[in-house]
Amino acid sequence: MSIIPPAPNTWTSEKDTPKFNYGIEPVRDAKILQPVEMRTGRCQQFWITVKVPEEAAEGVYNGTLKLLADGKALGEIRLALRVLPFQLPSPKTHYDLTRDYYVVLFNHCSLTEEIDLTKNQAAAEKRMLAEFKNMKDHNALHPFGPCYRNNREFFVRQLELMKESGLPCRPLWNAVSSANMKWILAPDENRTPDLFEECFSNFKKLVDEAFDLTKKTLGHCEVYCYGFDEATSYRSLAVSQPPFWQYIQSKGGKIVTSGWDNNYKFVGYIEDAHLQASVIDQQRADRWHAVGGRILSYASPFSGPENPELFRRNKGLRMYKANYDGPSTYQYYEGHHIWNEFLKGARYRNFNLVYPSIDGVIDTIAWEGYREGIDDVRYATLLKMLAAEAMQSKSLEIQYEGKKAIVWLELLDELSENLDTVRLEMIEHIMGLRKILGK
Amino acid sequence: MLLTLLFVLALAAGTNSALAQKNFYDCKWENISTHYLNSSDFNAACKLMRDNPEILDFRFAPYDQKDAASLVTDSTLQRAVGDTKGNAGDARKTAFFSVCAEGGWLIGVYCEEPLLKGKGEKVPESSFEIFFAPGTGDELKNECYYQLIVELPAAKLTDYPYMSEGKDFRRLKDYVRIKTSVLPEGAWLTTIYIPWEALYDKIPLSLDKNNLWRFSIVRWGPDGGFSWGGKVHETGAAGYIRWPRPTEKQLANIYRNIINGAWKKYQTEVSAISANMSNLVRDRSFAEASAEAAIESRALANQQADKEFFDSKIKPMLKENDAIGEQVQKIKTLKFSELELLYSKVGRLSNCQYLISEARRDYLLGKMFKK
Repeated sequence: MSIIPPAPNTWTSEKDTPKFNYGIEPVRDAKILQPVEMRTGRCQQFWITVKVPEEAAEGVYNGTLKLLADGKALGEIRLALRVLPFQLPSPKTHYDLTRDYYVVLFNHCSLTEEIDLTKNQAAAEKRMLAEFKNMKDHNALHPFGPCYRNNREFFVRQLELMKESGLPCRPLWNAVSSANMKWILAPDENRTPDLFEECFSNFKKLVDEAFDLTKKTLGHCEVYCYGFDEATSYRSLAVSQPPFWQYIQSKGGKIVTSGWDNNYKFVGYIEDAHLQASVIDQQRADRWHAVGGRILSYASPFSGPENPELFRRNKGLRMYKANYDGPSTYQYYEGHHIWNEFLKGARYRNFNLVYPSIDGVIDTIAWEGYREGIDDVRYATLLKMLAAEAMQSKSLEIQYEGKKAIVWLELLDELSENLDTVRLEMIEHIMGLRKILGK
Repeated sequence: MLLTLLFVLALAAGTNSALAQKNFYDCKWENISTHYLNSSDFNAACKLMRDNPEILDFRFAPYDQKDAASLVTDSTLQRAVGDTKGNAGDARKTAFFSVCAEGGWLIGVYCEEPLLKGKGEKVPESSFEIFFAPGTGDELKNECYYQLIVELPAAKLTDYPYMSEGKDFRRLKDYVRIKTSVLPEGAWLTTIYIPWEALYDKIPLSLDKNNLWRFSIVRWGPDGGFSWGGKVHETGAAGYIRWPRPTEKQLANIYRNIINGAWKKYQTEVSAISANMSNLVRDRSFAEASAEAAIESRALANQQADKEFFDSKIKPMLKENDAIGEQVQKIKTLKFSELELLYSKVGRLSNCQYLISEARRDYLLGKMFKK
């Protein structure tokens, strides 16, 4: 497929562009690597992801990549792989090894929408399952949704698909909205006690159903419920939402919403997880942790720039060392005009970490960088776990080794240090600590 | 064959027509201060503009309101943009000029402002957003663009790097010098000076051709934006800076300045590394070594107390760089071709820490596969 960009200054409008239905159109990734045309003087990159089976024995594995031109041997590249003698844990935060570093992801994965696209529930479920598995493979274990909207059957089925794909589903992010839009948008003169009673009663019914269904399907009610998106005013934050939030918290649920520093001022006492798009800032993180809350970043950057290094660094060690509770990137992919990057003049491309196809998604190198960034945090988590164990040792020598590893991590300049070097340094420390701890 | 030729001609015509729609600015060579540090430098830039009004380019157009509104979803930052009014440009005429010299590149932005009544008043709250892409215009060698925002009246610069800092990409925030002042006619001038040192591996000045860099500038004010080169991130519609061809003497002076600066910086860094080496030899304590690493050099934190790494990787690297130092000592006597060769090694000096980090990566990889 070749894409012909329009001439400069000619953007196609959303209105004039037919919607591309990726649930039906026969666009899919090839099962095996396809030949590419090589041109003189041009460098062609290939990315290879090697998936190591969990039961693989540690050691060095060697292989060969054969390069063919028109079926004839052109050369070989030696591929060496070292399988390390340890498993990576799930990522924990830098500031507290008992708290998860959540990789939350905004997305459009809704079974009802998928059925609208594919006109076929089995095909819709197959697509969704492929998407959830793709998220899991890229360390994005906590996709937003499914948000309950009186769609009992599809809500439950989507939860089942998430479970089947291997996603932990605990906590569940955005089980149901914590924003009652009828009440939030009502002008002051219409905000009567009767209207409140009507809104609150409907809200409670919806929340109760969502909690019951979640409990029955997942066996727990550890859920976050999303508030009014990017609210800024005192009225929309402090006046309109807390009574509804309190109801959710009284049932054991938690509140997550997006916004800016006004959230801390107005609803910092009641918001459990705050999603912010501003620059990564440790002071801001410390403020939220002081009230037992969490902070995640849904930008820095938003998806779009196809730069794997930027995603690896920022979603990984940069947010980690700034004491964030993880990234909550906006977003996996957006909208129905997904292959048309020239649709909106002011936008930096579409919000794509992946491109949707009829049977799943096509990855980008930014998405692979994202996965590596979270793997970096998993290595750092293991390093800190082992260091903590070493520091509890009765042997001073072992204590010192644990502290040396932490000193190294704290001195690390996560903004500019070569991330491959950082990964190898972490492995060095982990191997050293394992040895002295007798593992 | 004929068909192919026709196609090529049609393609060329199309390209020319696309180029014709874009703004070009011919940047001139001027003898401005090499360092651009003092208010006298700003006064000289102001005089240059007064004496040569033809250098000002007023081709700014109102920024589309709908597009400005959708910038809230921008991938790199959130901005507050005003409501662009149709006739706003009449009251807020905007122009820029661009000149270059041995020290660097100067951009001046001239803004008429109805809220200003005269000298002594403060520049009202507003900002400029500047994009430029080194490379060769629209040819294959186009590089990632730099995005800078200058906030007024504080003249605060924020850069939004597309890349992480590394040996091929330096953030500009530590290099750029900004000065701004209100002018008597109800306008202000802001100058933005970028020393070549920050762009040493992307210098556009060539002896045999006029290079093009994509360039765009947006003025954000209380009633919206005005743009010289299209919309934010819209690199395909950006205008171009057409760079002058310097004389061999001018280019040689640029090279000498940068080489000398890089050598000085390298010596400071390498003295910290050498100090650490003697610490390693004396088997200093871990605490002392890592404290020095934190203070003196980020890269040392990675190779602290690893004598084998130092001896096998760093020592040879330093020795090789000593040879560059010998050339730097006789820089005044070098022919232009020798100077060009020496200039090609600036990266080895400027990126010492990144190169050490890469060497460390290779060293650790070697260790890992030896086990």
